[in-house]
Amino acid sequence: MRSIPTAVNQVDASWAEVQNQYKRRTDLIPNLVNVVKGVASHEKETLTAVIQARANATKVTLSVDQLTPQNMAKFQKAQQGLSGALSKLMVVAERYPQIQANQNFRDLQVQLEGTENRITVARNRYIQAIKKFNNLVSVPPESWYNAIFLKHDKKPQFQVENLQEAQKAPEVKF
Amino acid sequence: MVKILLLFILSFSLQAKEVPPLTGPIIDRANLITDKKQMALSRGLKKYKKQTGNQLQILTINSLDDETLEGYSIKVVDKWQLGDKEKDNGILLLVALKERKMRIEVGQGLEGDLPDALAGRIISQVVPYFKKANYEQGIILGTSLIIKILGGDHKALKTRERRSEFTSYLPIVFIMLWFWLSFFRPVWLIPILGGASYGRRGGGFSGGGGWSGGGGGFSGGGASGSW
Repeated sequence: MRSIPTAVNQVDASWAEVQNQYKRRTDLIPNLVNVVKGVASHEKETLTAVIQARANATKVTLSVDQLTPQNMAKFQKAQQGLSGALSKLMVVAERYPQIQANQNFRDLQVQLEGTENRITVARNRYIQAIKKFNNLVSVPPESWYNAIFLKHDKKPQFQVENLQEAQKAPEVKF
Repeated sequence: MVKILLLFILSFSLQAKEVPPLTGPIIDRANLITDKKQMALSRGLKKYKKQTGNQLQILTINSLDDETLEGYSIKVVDKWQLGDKEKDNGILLLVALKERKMRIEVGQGLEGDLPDALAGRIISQVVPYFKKANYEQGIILGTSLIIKILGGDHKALKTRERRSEFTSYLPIVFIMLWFWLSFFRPVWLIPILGGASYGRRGGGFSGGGGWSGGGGGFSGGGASGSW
């Protein structure tokens, strides 16, 4: 009886963590942009793209109740857009020895790397939590209880819609 | 070169490299540390845990067997649950010999004291030693820098000039301190170090003193590097 509510809580917590870590990434971006701007302000296109993508990503936040497949797709699209723009920024930054030599930039690079890793971890934990939850609401006997009393729907998983695109996403070099 | 694949979810379920049992503060599968140093370091880490509660763990492996460094690292700490359940104060120093990669995985509770950027700087100081295949010294340096930074001593990381001089004597000081503590057992330190329980018992690294995870949580914080 208690397993479904427990799983719901687990999903709540792991989704909050996913959003939290994505937010951590958006919070890093202004500093990163500033460092690059300081040296290479003429790389306007790349810089604007990052700022734009960041703005898009901040717009899409979802509470657990809003987790429908459509919303999830929107969320993923916004975050992937940001990932793409960021990886371009890092490629640009690599062309400037002056940026590479900047300790502040190197620290930010490590922080970005750490954040990307945290996102991966948070996503994996969300995936595990959803797997458990979806099994509980769709596999008997718990699902009978759910169908009669709780009436939870399955919740959406993260999709790797476009594996190639995902694979070539940010690569941070030292 | 460090690679990050943003979305490698699929690989997670396919990964299969096993996690060794947690037998002591140092699990040296790649044989990078001599027995003598291992004993001293091991004893030091046990004492450090008693004093501060922070559980610092060293793991060296021969190969990642096609797993990603970060993926394996989080798998290890999820299994071992280093650190206290309430405080999440575990740290893993992981070295993968064949891939020439290392990582400092920081428990949730220590992310504030040892943020990614500082973990990254520690790694960049250890890398020159690893490049010269001086693994033992590199690991000892990394460990002592982690301890110093967790203790609030950020100067340990400062400048390049000081660094070379600093790193050359630091491991020696560190080891001497352990020997000093283990042989002379200054009376005034005994309460801090946990009294009678330190000393003979710390001799072995498999079993002596009891070494196990306390339910600490990790969320992927830390830094990676390669040499």
